[in-house]
Amino acid sequence: MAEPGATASGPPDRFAVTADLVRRAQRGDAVAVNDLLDVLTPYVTRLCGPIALQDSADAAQEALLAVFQGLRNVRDPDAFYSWVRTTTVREAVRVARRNQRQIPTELDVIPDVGSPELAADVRDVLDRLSPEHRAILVLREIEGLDEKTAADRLTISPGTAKSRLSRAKSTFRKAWTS
Amino acid sequence: MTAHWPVAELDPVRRMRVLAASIPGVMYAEEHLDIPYERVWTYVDDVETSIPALIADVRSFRIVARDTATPDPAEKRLTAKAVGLLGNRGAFEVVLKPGWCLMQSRLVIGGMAATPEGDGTRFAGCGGLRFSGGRLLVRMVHATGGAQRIVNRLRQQLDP
Repeated sequence: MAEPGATASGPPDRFAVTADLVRRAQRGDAVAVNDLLDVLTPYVTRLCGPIALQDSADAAQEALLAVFQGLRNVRDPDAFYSWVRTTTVREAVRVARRNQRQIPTELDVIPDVGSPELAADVRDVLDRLSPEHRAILVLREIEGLDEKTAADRLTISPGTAKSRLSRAKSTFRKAWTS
Repeated sequence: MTAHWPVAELDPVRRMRVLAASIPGVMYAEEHLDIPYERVWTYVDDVETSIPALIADVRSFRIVARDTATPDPAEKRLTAKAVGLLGNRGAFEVVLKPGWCLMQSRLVIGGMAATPEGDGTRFAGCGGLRFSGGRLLVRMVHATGGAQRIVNRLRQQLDP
């Protein structure tokens, strides 16, 4: 289970602090909601950026709304970040799908990567993937989940997850080596 | 591989939408103001002046303590004493940083947020009551203008 802002597991006291904030936020404590937003926002924005791209601000807002409105149902603080991750990825895919302006181009027509700005290149490559492909890539590459867990989080079969990941990685390889 | 991946941004108004929606009974309003963000936030940031001017029920709002040991250097954590129009008193925790002001007492929640929007500002205000039965009262206040009054008063103060 990843700590916000990191891919590795966080120190236990951080989880204890978060659990306390969750309990206080559930009771309608606005300062606890503020502090929990401070903790979760970097994590949620990091997941939403590559999945929702130009709609990432909408996606981050929708994801946090879903998380905080579902907060009253959280019973197990140990499973909190896993639930936040699942909710965030689901909302990011939904918002990206809803606002999709064009159908992604075929994966084998990636243009040459000639830009001096690596960040722009990454964005360019991500833009050519569907939200679902970006979601599996984020769960594997940012979150470090194995394929089976990533498939579970996206409620897709392991075979579909494997296929999507293979195509997404192939896109990156082509872009970097072209 | 992921060092250059895009990261989403959540501006203070979007953040306030989340906060207001996550606490039952909090009323919320937002609007575009044709007033530059710097002017809006310079005014709001002086809470001892702005809070009594923007919130009708507050006669005075005085800072009595400052916590400087915050993780975010741009953030101030304050304690303020508010006196209401009827002489009622309350101690407020205040979280104040650029574009963000959250206030909470034992009974009341209030907040303001702002972010640049074109040449102007998107400004949000919210408020609610924390005690049992508060939600009903908030619904009554909401029906008579509620959080929109904060927005309207700010416009009156800065653009008379």
